[in-house]
Amino acid sequence: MLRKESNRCPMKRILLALALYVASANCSAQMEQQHAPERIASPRFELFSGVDLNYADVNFTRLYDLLINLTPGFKFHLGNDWLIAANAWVPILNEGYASRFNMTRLNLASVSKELHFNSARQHFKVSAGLFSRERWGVDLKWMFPVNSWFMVNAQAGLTSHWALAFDMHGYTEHSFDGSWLATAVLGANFYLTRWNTEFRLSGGRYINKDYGCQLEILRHFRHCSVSVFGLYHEKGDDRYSRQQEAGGFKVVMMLPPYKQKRERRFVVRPASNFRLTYIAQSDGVSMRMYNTDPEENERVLPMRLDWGTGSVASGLDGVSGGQYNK
Amino acid sequence: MYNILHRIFGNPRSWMKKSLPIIVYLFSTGVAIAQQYSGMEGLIHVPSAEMDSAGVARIGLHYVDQHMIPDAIILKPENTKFNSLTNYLSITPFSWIEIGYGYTLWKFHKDKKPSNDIGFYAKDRYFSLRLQPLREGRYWPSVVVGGQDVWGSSENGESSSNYYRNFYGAVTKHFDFGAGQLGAHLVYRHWYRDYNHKWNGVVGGLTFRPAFYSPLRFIGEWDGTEVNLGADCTIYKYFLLQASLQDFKHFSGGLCFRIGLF
Repeated sequence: MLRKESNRCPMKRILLALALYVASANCSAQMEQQHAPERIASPRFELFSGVDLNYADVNFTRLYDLLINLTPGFKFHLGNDWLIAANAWVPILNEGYASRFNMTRLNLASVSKELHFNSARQHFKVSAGLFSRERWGVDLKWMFPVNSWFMVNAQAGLTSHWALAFDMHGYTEHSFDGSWLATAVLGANFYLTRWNTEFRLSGGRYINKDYGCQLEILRHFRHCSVSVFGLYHEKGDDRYSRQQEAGGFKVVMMLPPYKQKRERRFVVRPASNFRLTYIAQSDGVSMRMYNTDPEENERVLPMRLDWGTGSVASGLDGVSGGQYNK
Repeated sequence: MYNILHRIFGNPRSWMKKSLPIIVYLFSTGVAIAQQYSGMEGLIHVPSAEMDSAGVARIGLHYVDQHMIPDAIILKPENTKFNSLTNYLSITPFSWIEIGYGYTLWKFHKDKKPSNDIGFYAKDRYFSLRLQPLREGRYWPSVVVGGQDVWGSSENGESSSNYYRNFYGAVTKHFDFGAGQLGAHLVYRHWYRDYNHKWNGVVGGLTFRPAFYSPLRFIGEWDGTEVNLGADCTIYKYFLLQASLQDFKHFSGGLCFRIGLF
């Protein structure tokens, strides 16, 4: 004898479906929160080193002028998004560059603090100290992710010139300039998540008191980003400034390990990335800007942010540079 | 003797059975992608409408016979041509575009003084670009438009004079049959400088990839002045090796490291 199924109340089915939907939505939100860039476990000390390769094709009778530096450095994460970072340049090879680059020099020594106002989607990073390109002062970075594909950002700094170097023969360089220079760059980023392709438009005033704008198109792969860029700038005060248009390409290779364990307080590792920049028709002085982080690069955002290469949707989360712990 | 070897190495039939798949895997990667001396997709001296996969990058070195080098690249003041090396870096960021940077080493007297030694003290750099508006289908060919040395100063100076500048449109169609895959490539090419006009016009070639070993590809082409023959092969999955004879007598060849970035 077959047993008949009783008819269930349709309201029960609706309520059951609604409950399942709410439960799944909560799970999804929790998963997103778990995958959002988290603060690095503090305190944490990282010791690293890389290689800085400089080459210039400005001498027709030589293939390239070469300058190779070893770049030892450290990062001390104090907690609550405070960071102390420093690195130095130790010359290994100098063929064609000025003799002052034969000295070991302190390249960067800075303290920075990130401020995140997530409800307003406003993010800031304040840095102070010695930056790259022999600039010292204060710097403020601002990022406003309008939505998942559009972000506005800016950088403003008040810096002066300070060079510190020495060699084993007793020569030193202590060049300090008290004149202050204000720089500011405003930019807009567009990120196409489906193709992990990013468009960046930026312009402003740079450290040689020149004004210019730049368009860069980046394609992000799993451990590598490549970009082509073009820039246009005015002729600056520097006597070397001449060419107004330039362009080229960049390659940013992230180096292993790509993920760092949260519980480790002391880490020794290679530099997080290797950057290669090729600029054609460049005068070498226009549209230059300092770095506030020794491992700053075009692939990893300068602050902890769930956007672009640091977002879950990009599929690059966790391999964008190892800066976000899992 | 056989007993001694058998004790040392074991049964040769068994370890051959075990190692043969590994050897076959190391030497087979599927489709072998050829390289030109400029680092871009193509045959030997002639481009094609084939396109690499998205996310593939190449770094390579190619030995180039002087007959493949533009006539303006000469050793002065002797005004003689020379064999040279090219180095290149290219990438296919999307499946429809390929970008490359390369340079040809240039022989000079050191410091440009005729009394000094001769060596590779300079280079000619160039950027190349290829776009694929139509991908090959079952019934239609692949179409590519591109150019070499597409950006730079047009001044007839010594360091940037568009020596390699040329533009082309290419069509490629592959035909599969039992013995392998035959590729037909037809190109119309226009070189910018007068001394390169010998390579102008309709050029093209045929390629054949045998079914028994797909990483290997045989190439025959007409580049506008002579017939070139060559072959290329993918080795150990990441390396491409190419060798060719220009006009049946002038050797060129190169090695390329190819890697997918995804």
